[in-house]
Amino acid sequence: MNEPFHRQNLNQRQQSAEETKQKSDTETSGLEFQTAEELLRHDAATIEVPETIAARLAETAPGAAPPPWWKRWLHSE
Amino acid sequence: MLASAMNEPLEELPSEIPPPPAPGALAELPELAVIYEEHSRAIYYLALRFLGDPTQAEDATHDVFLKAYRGLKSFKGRAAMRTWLYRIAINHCQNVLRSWHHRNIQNCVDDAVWNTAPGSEDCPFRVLATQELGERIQKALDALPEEYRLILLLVADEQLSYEEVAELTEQTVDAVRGKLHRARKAFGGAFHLND
Repeated sequence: MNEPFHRQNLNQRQQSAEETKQKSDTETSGLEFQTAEELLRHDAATIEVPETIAARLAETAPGAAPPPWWKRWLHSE
Repeated sequence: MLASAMNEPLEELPSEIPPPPAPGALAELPELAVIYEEHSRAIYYLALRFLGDPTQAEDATHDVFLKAYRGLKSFKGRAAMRTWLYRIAINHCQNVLRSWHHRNIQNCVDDAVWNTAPGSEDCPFRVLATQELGERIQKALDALPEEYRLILLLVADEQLSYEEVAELTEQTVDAVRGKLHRARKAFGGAFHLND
């Protein structure tokens, strides 16, 4: 037997309220990290590398002169 | 009418056609693009949290990859690329930290303070407000001696082994383990101060 319309509507609203509460609980319960390294890894993953670095490299790298011969020679020893 | 329209010359295309968007700023330098794509996040993160300044971290990351690009031919593959880049980055960042400005504003904390700090290593890090997490982490790292800060940041990179961290920080693996223990404790203490 079909439920009356007002009953269906109430169920939907209850379901929606529960979903909202679950979402809110997840947001307020936050995050937990067992170690400092775990926390730092999370931090690293959320960091955006500025796009300006690649743009600057694209300008500077092609003209980057190789080190002088004596420096290369000392380095190869 | 149709015939006359067909006889008309085609409209000339504009002489300056904008070039297609490049796949990346480093598209012209494929060797550099490959290493940059794989390692830039790790190098930038190390510089950012080690120096504690986004502008200096940006400059440092640029300089590290520029040095690496110039030295690619001398890279003999005896170490992993990541380790090699870290070595350049650490030298660069340590030079920055040794500059006059940093020498004069750095806090000198006796190592013994960290050795006797109340234990907070086993206490998990619970974070409610993720917006200011970066600031809290930076504050906690800034409170650590430079060596502890570096060890924590290197060990946090899962691509590095303890042996590689020991090599990069020029000490034995046992020394790294000991200092890591104290670094975790100190970091935990400093982080939880802001709870």
